[in-house]
Amino acid sequence: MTGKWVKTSKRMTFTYCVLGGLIFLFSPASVTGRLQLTYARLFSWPLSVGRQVTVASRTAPVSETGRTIDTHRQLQDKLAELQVQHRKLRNHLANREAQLDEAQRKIDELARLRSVPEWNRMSFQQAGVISLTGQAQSELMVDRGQDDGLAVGQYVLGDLSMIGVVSAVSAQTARIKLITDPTSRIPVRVEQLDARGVMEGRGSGTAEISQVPARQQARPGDRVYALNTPGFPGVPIVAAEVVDSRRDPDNPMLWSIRVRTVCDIANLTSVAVIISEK
Amino acid sequence: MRWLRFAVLVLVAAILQTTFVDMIWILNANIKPDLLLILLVFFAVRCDPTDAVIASFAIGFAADLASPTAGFMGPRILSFGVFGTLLNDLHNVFAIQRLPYQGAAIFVMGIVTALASHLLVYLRAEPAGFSIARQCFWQPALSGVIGPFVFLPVGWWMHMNGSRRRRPRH
Repeated sequence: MTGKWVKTSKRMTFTYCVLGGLIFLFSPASVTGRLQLTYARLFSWPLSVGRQVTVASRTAPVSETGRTIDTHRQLQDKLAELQVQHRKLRNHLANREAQLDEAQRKIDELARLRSVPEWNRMSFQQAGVISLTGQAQSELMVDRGQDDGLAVGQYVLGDLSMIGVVSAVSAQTARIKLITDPTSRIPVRVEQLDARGVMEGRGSGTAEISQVPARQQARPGDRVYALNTPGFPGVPIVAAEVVDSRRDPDNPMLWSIRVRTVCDIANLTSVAVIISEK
Repeated sequence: MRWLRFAVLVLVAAILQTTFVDMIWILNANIKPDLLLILLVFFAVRCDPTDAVIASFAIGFAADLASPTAGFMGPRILSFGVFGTLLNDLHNVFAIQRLPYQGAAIFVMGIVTALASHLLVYLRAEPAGFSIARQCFWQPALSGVIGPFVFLPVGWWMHMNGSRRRRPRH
């Protein structure tokens, strides 16, 4: 009788326990999670101490194999870290190289300006071209202004040739009136003819020198130099070249000479503004 | 059955399982002996049937509490309870007394409980991070090697050195 009771009790106990296990299995994770959190909170001290001891023990390898594995892992970690640093340094180097190229380009530009001995007396301000404006595409907007020493009337060089004068200036930008602007008037000299005149802009990259007293016709390609005026450096600076020439209909002794700039203004990226004489 | 001693023992084993046992590893840090599995076999072999059932489910409860599978409880309560009870019944057929047999019992129990737990997890969620080699071979094997030697201090603590039953003589 007792044995039968015990046997039944075992089965019932087993059944109850299985039911309890199923209840746990299908209980919401939030409910069972509380039990686990309670366990962790109640035994936080031995668990944390055990954890610290375990972590500390991992820093001291227990065998040669363990030491080798640890060394391997450390080397892998270090390799990954070095790869990240390598990528950063490579990008940094690329940025620096680009900056160096830009600085070198500016230095070369300024060095070319300094190559003319007389220009050593001048001070230049490099300015980047923002846009080519004006109805006849005869004005330039540059990214330097009053804050950089620019002022109205200063002459502007592009590709080592005179291309215009500063016509308006704000704090950080300026407008340059090109020599091809219809309102531009600049005294010039045609070198081969040794004749002087006033170059007037005609727009579209061209200008004209009217009423030039000359005994012979100017040839295409002859150089035209800007003459000395207040604020001008005092040295001849090429401004244009002859395209063609024709006699003046009213006075056959005079010539009308059509010229164009010697600088590719449409593709110009930077200019040099002559600030003042030293 | 000294239930207070049992509770202390299971609690200490659960804490050790999640802390100090991490220091014992061979080849791989994730392969470590399962102290609660060793206790399961110990009590399944040496307890009376009813006590063995309760002890098996209680150890499974502790296992789920200390290191829950997939974030919820239940899989090891059931797997430990069911297979602990089966081992207890099996012990009526042939005694598991010698050290190699005890080790083999721990090894087999480790495999079947790991598989059963894994399958039970499917009832609730998609199991993640189950390694058959580790959980179904290396861990039970390591537990099987260490287990018989753990039986001695556990038996001393529980005053249960010596098998509950002997193999019936014919």
